Amino acid sequence: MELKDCLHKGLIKKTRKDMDLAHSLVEMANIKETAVTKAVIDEVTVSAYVSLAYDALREVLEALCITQGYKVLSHVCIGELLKDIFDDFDYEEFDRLRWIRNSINYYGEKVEFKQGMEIIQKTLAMKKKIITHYFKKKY
Amino acid sequence: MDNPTREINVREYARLARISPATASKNLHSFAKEGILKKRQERMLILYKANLDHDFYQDVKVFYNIRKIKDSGLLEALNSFYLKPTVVLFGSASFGLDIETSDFDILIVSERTQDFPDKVKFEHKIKRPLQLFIVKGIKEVRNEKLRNNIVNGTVIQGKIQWS
Repeated sequence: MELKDCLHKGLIKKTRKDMDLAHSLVEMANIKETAVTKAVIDEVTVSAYVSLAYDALREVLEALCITQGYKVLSHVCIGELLKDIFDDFDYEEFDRLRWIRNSINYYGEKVEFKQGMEIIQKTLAMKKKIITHYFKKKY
Repeated sequence: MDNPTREINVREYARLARISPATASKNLHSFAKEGILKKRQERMLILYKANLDHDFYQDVKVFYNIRKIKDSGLLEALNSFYLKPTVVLFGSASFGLDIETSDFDILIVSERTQDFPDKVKFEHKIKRPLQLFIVKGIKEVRNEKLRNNIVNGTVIQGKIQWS
């Protein structure tokens, strides 16, 4: 789906730049990250934690969209919008993580333990990079 | 496209393309005139084959190779096993210079580095040997020549990242 389709379908809505909401979303994302990093992850649970780590990342990206004055209702459209706003946004990496999360959540795919742990690390590293790179406020 | 070094005559081409010999002759003559095909006469027969050096042929061949990988279901199978890895076609197939016996050289970048279990199945489907290089990152490729080949290849999915 392209950005124009996201706008046309109403999946991206113009809204006010709500910094308090953005702040709350980042805080919630950090709580989810803590839940992942403190968990004892094994072969059985790793897929669920990959999905949770992705949620933490997506919430930070949603917060970023809100700081730009957009409410985005679709994961694909988050990527499309941020790619359009920020030239240096790593769209491919985010889109891959979204694809993996969808495979887990919607198609019941299971991630191998070692790969899952590396994906979690990559996801949380991207979240950290987004916060340090794009947010003025330090979290 | 699958047999670029093979020579073909008008009647054979007409039969394969299911067109009349007159149309086949006209088409082949026109491609040869543009330089996309090479033409030679042997006794009474005029034989044509791909001109591997021609720019247009190479462009179409690259497109054909990429479509072949995608249409075979290889990309989907790689996605399922390696979780949407970066996939790069490199070497002769990425320049449209491959012939019948050439490998398809493919780089796969993923956290998972196990051998692809369905390799043989797809080699039969694509009718080419597959050389799969599976790494966690491009930096893992120590051989400089190989690394240069990869960065000059065609990214089919994802992106190559140095860092």
